[in-house]
Amino acid sequence: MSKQITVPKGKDYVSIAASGHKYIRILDAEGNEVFRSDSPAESVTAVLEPGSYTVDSDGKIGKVDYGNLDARLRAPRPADASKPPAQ
Amino acid sequence: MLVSIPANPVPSDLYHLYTSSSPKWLPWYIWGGGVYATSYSYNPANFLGYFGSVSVPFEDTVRVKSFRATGYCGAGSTVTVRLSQRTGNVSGAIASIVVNVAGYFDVTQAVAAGGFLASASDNSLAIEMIEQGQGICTVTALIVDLS
Repeated sequence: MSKQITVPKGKDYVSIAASGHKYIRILDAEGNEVFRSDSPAESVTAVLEPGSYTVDSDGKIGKVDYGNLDARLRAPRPADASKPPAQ
Repeated sequence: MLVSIPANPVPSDLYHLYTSSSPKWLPWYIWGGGVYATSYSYNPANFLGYFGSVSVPFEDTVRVKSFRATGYCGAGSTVTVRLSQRTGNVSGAIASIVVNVAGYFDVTQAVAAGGFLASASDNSLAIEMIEQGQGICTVTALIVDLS
């Protein structure tokens, strides 16, 4: 089963519910596999850039949600160690 | 080239602490040779369970194509595993894995734009692991695809 999704701007991740599956994978617009889960968890979370993707699974794909990571868990902006914080 | 970085199992005596009746604060444990940790009975609003970090060895020039993590996530917890690169004094994540559903996980995340070209003379690679929540979580293996 496949499903088209679009990660909106301002969102960090997509959560995909599924059942009866052995894998869930996500393909980008060019067909490249950018995420794969080989576990039977009832849902998976993929950290993705905004854009269009295809969710593919050998099971049933359920609800798709988008969200933001806890600020402390977001990928940090590049940090320049040569510039210490201002005192 | 696949580089597998195995994590160590939790010793049975430590696991006993997790299952005891009295709460104990075990924010993190880091074991030599691998990284394996849990958090238990602490306020997740104030603390992150920092699993630690490990270096990813490589030689010459490689293209970092994907990053895979396996393990177990306890109920009520979130495991975040990030592969980061360093160039000069600047670093940033090139692949992130987040697991927030209880159960065993085996997740592979591709590095954006077809991969990150890393040169041993100019770059370093490291993995950072964080667990948030109050469940027992485990990272059993970290695998980086370097082609």
